[in-house]
Amino acid sequence: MAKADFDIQFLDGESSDTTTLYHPGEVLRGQVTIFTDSNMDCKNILARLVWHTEGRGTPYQEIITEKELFQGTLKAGLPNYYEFAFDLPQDPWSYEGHYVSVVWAVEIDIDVPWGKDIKESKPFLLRPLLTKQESF
Amino acid sequence: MTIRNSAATNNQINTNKPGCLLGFAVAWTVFSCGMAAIMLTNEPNIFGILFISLFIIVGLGLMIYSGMVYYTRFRVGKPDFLLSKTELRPGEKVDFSFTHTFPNNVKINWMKMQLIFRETATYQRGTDTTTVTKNHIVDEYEEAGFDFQGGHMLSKAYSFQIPEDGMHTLKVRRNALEWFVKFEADIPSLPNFVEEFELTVLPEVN
Repeated sequence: MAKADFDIQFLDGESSDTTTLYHPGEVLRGQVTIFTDSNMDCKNILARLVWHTEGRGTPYQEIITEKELFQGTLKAGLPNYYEFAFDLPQDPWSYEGHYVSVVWAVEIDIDVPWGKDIKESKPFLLRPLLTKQESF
Repeated sequence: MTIRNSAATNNQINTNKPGCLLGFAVAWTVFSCGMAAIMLTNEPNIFGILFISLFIIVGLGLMIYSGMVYYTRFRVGKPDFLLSKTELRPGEKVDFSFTHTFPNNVKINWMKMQLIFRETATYQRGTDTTTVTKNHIVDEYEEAGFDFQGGHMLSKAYSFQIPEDGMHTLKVRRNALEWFVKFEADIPSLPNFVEEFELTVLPEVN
């Protein structure tokens, strides 16, 4: 089975060492580069804007929107670049807690015919712009 | 707009339900007694009887505890709680006050008023469903206790603020992030008197 390496980059937002911050209502623009070790037929390459819960509770996930990036054959050894853009919703905001966390991500899904989908995701933060910073 | 804890204003949600515990305890005990009766009429054995006795003891314990909760509420009476609003945004303030005339003599060790952010997670392990909660006490007031006499009137007011960068309310399947104002009074030799009021924090900024 062919393997694929992903490199998902966000082109805007407020970047720090570990993550990228966006505010509700902003547009998230990004690019994914996919390398495959052999030619790969794919029904679809999909980019999804998703959020899910993490922590002790049973995970919950919502797909906000989904965009089709490509259909056809990925050439082996060559970088395949695809751009995506999503309008970010107002909520839920990202949260990291003791038992419950809310995590936003862009998920890239290669739909392989007669095979298991190949997926990769990159998380980001969705938090409102504060007028003054307080700690909580 | 001021919202009172009375039947006339039902948009303030009081989350304290001692009747649920009593109902559960009664159902548990009745079921356990039924199982014990079936066991005794068929093939009674000492291990089975000991096993089912444990269930009956737990049920009776729960019934006694919930009876004590009701007795606490009878002793203290029903304070009149007021919240200035129940829907607010991060950074906004809510005023919380209560007025109460004690119907009986009652000693209270302390009273606490808390703004709580609660994480609730439910998960499945085998056939068991477990719920865990984590309370973050964001703000708290504590009042010293007193020996209240029947007819004594008490009136207090407090203000709580949702932190500017606090999380909004979120309720999805098996995961919840919620805000509450909690009133708790410690009464010697009885369960604490507890009332909780849910606040809905909206995902909006000022």
